[in-house]
Amino acid sequence: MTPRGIGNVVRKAAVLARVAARHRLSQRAAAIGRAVTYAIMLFVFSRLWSVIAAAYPGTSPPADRVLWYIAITEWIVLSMPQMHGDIQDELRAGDLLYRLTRPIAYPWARLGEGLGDLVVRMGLLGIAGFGFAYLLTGTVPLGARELAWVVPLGVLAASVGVVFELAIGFTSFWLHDCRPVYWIWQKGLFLLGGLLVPLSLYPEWLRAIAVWSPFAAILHGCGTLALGEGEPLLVGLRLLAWFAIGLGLVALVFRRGLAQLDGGGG
Amino acid sequence: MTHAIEIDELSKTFTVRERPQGRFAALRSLWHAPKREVIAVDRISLRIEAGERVAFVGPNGAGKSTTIKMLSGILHPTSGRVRVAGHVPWQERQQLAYRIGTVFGQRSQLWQHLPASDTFDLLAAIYDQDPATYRARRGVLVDAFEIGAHLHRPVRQLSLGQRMRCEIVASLLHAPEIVFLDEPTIGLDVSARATIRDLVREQAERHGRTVLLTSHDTGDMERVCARVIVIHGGRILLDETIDALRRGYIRRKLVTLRTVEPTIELALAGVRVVKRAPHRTDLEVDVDITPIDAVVQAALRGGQLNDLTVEDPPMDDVVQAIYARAEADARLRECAS
Repeated sequence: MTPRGIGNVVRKAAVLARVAARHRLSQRAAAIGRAVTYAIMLFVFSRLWSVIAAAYPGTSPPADRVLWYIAITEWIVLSMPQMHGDIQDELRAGDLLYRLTRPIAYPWARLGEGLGDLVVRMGLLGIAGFGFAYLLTGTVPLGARELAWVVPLGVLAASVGVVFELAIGFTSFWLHDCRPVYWIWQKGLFLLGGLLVPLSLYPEWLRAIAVWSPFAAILHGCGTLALGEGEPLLVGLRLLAWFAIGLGLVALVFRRGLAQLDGGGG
Repeated sequence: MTHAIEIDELSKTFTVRERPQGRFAALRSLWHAPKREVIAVDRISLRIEAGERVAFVGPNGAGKSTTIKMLSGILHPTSGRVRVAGHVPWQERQQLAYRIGTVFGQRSQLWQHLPASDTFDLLAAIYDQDPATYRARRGVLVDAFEIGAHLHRPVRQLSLGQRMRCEIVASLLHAPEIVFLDEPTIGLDVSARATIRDLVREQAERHGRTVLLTSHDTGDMERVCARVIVIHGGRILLDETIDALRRGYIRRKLVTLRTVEPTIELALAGVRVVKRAPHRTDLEVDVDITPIDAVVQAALRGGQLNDLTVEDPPMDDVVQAIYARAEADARLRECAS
């Protein structure tokens, strides 16, 4: 594709993102539900880490930093739209094929929509979650530099998640139900991503495996900003690398899937 | 005249996996699943001129959708040659997208929680429409389809008829030369159906658009199109004008006599009374046995008439007769082989 062609796709995907964002804003009840879930989760973990801190004085990292770590990782996870299900439904209903008649490739149109949806979710959940984390801890343990980086890196991290969600959705071309693949991905995020516990508390051998996975790049990378351990530029570079890998994967899986559909019937 | 659509010897064969029967079938299918070839479209050839309105009809599984998917570049054919608006669809899908419009009655391109105007703006951007041209065209279409009052309400709050009018406007915003309509009136009430048909025909006539309509509703076919292609078992059974179809396939006429006397008796070969009421008699006439003028003369001799109407049977019956004939021919071929 020429640079002009890429620019054209990006422009159209941005318009789709804007409409998807407006669409998401029109669904207030779901946003409130997610914010409440997020707040409950933070409350439970704030109690849990207070108990741990009381039982093991001098534990590192401190409880308030861990709570902010969880606030960041949960913010990323809860903001990611579950696009694999939508893609699977579109494929089952036959709608996906009909969207191919538009002058923008389906994966990039879907990515635009996903990112638009994501930005709104991140905005709403960020305000609710970070506000609640502040209420629970009474502090913001991020320095000015980390604070400036946490939002753009968080959005980039969730965008990597959206790209992998697309690739998972496209496995529906072969699998009648792509949820098992999603569950593996989700458990990978929870465990190897360090959703609830920073990787620095993991056994050495597991941490050594986890840090090379996209899961750690998506969650732990941004979370480390709250722990005062992360280097924002390195976190950003890792995320960009995984974003590029994810885009390549999406293009590959989609092309193969379409060929499979072409031979086996629409 | 130029051809909007050219199809030569187009075929599509799908390979479908069959699940083996018996115990542990699911397990065995993991390493060996028998495959079967299904011919969805079988060497069809046709030409559609620019500005023609053509109905593409056939029973479920006839190959209509597969053909439309190949024409719009969604599927690759197994063999054959196709050009749509001068493009090879599966090789130039993106370029072709600017020149075709699609309306699928059972699928929506409108964002349900947003007003239709938002989707229109989005489509204008996706189809690279110049803002001034887009605004002017949108104004004309909104007036023609009378959707001005519904434009700023969330789509989910619209009735099916209102939504379908918005769907058609959405597909015409980039002024496509060719429009594929798949069941555009499905689920609509009688009045909404009539409105949609009239609007589609009127828009196509005014702008010289080529229309390829697939529908199970023969009313759509009669009101919108001038030509009909009947497909069955992946092959074209018939390709004629609607008028020729009527002339060629309709051997029966429905005659209604309204008489001064309570009843009238007609004893003619090929004439059957289908309904009788005081001062009214409905007849079915086989015109191959008794011509209509003979029936009229007999009716005039038999009593005093207040009114007389002669109608063709519904188009549904005509299409059913075509399918039935095709199935009988296929059975004969099977027996012969």
